[in-house]
Amino acid sequence: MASGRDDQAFPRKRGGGALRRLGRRLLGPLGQVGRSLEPALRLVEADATTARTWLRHVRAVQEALGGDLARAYGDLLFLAAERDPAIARQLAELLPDQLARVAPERRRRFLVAVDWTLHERPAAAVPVARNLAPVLGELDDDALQAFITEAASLAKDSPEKAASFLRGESGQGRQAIQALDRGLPLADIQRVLALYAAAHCGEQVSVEPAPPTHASPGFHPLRAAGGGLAYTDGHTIRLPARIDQLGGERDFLVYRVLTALCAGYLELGSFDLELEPLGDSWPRPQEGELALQRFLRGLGNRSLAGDLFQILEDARIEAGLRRLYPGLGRDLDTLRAELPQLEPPLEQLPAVEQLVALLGYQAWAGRMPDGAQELVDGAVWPVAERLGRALEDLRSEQATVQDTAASLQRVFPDALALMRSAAEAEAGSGRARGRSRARGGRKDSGDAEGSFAPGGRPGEPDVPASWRDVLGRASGGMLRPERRDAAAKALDQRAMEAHQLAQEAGEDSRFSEQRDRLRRDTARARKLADYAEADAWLSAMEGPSGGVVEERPRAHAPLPAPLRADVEQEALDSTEGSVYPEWDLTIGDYRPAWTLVRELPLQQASTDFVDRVMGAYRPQIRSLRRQFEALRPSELELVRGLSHGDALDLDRVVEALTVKRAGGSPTDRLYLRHERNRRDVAVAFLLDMSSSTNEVVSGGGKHIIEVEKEALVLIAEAVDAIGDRFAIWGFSGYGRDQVAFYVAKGFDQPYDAAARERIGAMSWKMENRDGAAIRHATRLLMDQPARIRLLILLSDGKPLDCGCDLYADSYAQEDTRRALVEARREGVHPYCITVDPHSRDYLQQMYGRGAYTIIDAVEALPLRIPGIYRRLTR
Amino acid sequence: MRQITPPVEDFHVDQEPYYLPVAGEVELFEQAWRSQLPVLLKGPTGSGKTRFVSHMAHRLGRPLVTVACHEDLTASDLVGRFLILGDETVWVDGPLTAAVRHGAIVYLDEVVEARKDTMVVIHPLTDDRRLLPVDKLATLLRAPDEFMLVVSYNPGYQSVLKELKPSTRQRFVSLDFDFPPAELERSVVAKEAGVSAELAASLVAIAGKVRNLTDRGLDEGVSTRLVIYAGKLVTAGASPVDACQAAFTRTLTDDPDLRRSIAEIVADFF
Repeated sequence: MASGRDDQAFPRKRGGGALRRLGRRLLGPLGQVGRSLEPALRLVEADATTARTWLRHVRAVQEALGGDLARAYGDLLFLAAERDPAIARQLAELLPDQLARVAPERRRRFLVAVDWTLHERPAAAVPVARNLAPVLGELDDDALQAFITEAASLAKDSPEKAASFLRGESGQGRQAIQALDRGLPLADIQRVLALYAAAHCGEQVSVEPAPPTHASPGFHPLRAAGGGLAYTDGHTIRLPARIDQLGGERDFLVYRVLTALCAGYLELGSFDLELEPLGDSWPRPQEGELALQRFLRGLGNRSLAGDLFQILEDARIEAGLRRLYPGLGRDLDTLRAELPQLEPPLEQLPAVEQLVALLGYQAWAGRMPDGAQELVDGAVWPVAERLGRALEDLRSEQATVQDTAASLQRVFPDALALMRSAAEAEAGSGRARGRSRARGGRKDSGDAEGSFAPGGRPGEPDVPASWRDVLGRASGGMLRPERRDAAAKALDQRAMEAHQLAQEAGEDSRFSEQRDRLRRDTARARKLADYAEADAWLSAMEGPSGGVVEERPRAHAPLPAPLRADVEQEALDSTEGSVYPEWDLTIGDYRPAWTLVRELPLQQASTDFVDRVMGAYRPQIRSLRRQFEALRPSELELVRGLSHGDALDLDRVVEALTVKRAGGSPTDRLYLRHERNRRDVAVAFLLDMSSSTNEVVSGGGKHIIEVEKEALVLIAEAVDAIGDRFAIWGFSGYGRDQVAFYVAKGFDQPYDAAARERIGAMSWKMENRDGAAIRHATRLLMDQPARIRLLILLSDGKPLDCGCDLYADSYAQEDTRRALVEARREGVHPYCITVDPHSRDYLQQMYGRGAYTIIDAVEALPLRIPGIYRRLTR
Repeated sequence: MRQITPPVEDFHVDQEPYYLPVAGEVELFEQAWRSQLPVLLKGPTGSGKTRFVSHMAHRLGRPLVTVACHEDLTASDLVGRFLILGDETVWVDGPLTAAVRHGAIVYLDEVVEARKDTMVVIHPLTDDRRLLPVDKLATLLRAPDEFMLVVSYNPGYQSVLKELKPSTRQRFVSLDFDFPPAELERSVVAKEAGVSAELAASLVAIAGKVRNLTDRGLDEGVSTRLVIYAGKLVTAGASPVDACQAAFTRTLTDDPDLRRSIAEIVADFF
């Protein structure tokens, strides 16, 4: 961004020459900074303090973010230093951290925004740099400029106001973002669509924005409306981050219909193809390859096979969905009427593309284009007719993905022959028919990406632009198993193996069922990946590895903060612990004195965190307090039926007199008393502080643990208002003899500034050995003289401790279940609130029905938790 | 002194209540009745527990006494009390006493809602003694062989304050209720709401889709009862979409995202 400034004369305010020499001496040993040297020297001249800060950070920036951004960082500081050294110094400190916070693909844009602000509103540059990161993804360039301008004008009144506006925290900021946006952003309706998709296919699918590509949107007008960015790999439904097509509710309709189509592949079994019934001469399976991909690879030309298969299968899915969901059918028709219909320029297309275009037309319109027979190559028409008939057959109710594959298999040799003869004719005439050559040239390439997404295939130069899209339609297809990430591939592989095993055993098995079952089981895989990350940090760190470390830096922060490992290790060594047994599934018995739980102090830091949460949720907290105060039982309650008391209970006196008159013997329990009323509830919140809580919540930019802490702050206010006794605990640890139990607020401690500081100091640590922590929590709860004892666990996944002995899977779950049974037997009611969407099966098994809640939108946790608490204790 | 027992005719189930058996629960109930065992019906709200009991009462030809339990229900509400009529004191049997006298089936709906002291009177009825002590009359009623105690309980009702104690639970044989399979649910809805098979199929399909969202923020799925309500609204002239929004969307949740996704699912069908 600063390349144009190289020619500018530097302001030489203070004997530039001498400074320059000084700079060279300073920077001399820093050969590795390499190309940054020149801007560095300029920076030294502009402001030496800024240069020193820059020097401290630039290597880390370079390593973490790459040389380009490091250079841009230097350039930006130079620009700032020219304008105002004070701004430059602040930016020099801020930018590395902020850059690390921005998603990699947005970092350049972030710098451009700061650069623009420096030019246009220098005074706003620091607040912009400090606060813009979270909202950056929500605005396009024009909107971003308008947004920053608005913030800059606010900054004149009050810097705090501008900061909160920029972060999108203030209502005004939110509104501004929305007003500046065009179209409908996915973020607004992501959860609605995820629920909608889950309801449709009954599987655990998620909805995520598609990474931007330059793929052509394809032929299908509806799919084109999604910009080619709507597809599913069988695990995740990807949708464009924003749709701005028809305006308002219509854009939502586009989103909804695209979601329904993607969910349709799952619901109607597109991923369930079986190869055996289709013959046995299929290529050897590749690692992580689905039967569907293998099938297409086996046909001879994956690109062409992929195109035709997509069109045929889409026709089947669309017809199936129309049958299942008449309303959806009407919506499809509505959109069809509003989206432009493309007439294929048949005579300009090579033979094989005529075939694809004709079939696509048939799928969309239910017939061939008028007069098409005269326009197309003589050899194409019969093949197209056969495929067209097959396509119409696939719309029948009985059709399955097997039929789609079988009809393609029957006709494909003819289609391939069309392509080959065209290629030969080309070779003979030397005429360049780019498209056919493109397909012909790709036929045996081995990469899996080729099956549906052949990338930019060259179109005919004389083909109209809209039809160039048609030629690339395969890359706009919505069924893209090859887009699975490594984890999804591994999952599919295992599902396939399980599926085969089940079939060999003569069981009725569907691939998608096996996959869904396994998918519910991926939480562990995710945790293990986190563990690997945490492990990498540990080994890179000085100090005792394997300890329970306070204040580790964020995984992506470029500049490691000082560690407190030593402090806490000391505490760990000196604190006496409590010993608990553990249930060993493998021996079917308890291992006595197997775990050691120690209560560790939390570093009291500051009330910043709690204050910020209280600020951000002020209106909600106020209404929460009101609601919960209303639940607080009236101070005095009338207790009836006593033999001694404050006053006679008239109802009972009358009753006793009638009994006496009737000749019976009346009761003497005729008194009542006003008794001080207590809810008599003791509740403990137990926070899982394992390393996986460091994961960033999608969309919000917050970490899971931050959201969970926010939830704790809100619920603490609510419980405080209702008057129940409560404690806030956290746990983590590493290995069975190092289970760490943190007390943010004990039952006997007041909920004061110190307790709030300790909540702020809770941070992610290592592992979670749930069983031991639950046993310790139960013991502490049993010391409370309450009628109802409630233990609420805030969790983000399965129990897992990869310390010296592996505490995972069924071993960990069975021990946790045992610990919960023990707790119940003692009279403690355990309840689990989790943000792990795949937790239903194992939670049901560990906690039992009705003793857990799954929060699928983590951001919603703080606002949901009071409702859960109210329901639990009503 | 006069004693009043509500007449047995009040409790007869004359018309056969419509009930489609799902998985042998009719036979099991009959076997429990013949063996004089008390029965616990577990299941979500609106899954047909109450309907099942009245169906069984009719089938077995027994009178049925139903008590909807609530938090102010005490033991004497169940057993009976003295009342003054003019110048006279009379004893009026409570529903439980009346049921024992008539050899009826007594059904305590949502039994966990009742006060703790009610359990004390129920306990001796649930074991082989089959006794009901009526303290105020200083008598001990022995339940006839035809008498049967049935209680219901909704485990999805997530309040720790309202759990059935294991000691109580173990006095019953249990039947699980859940929403019936789609095939059966369609017949039930068509019959009960008087709607076409086609509309019943759509309503049941919507319910099935929405039940996929249980635990994703929805505490309980659409009950069969709600599906029937939606059908009845349509029979009464509401449009299917309005009926579903009223019976499903607005009833089930206040979470705006969930409401919207349920509304969209409804829109998919009509």
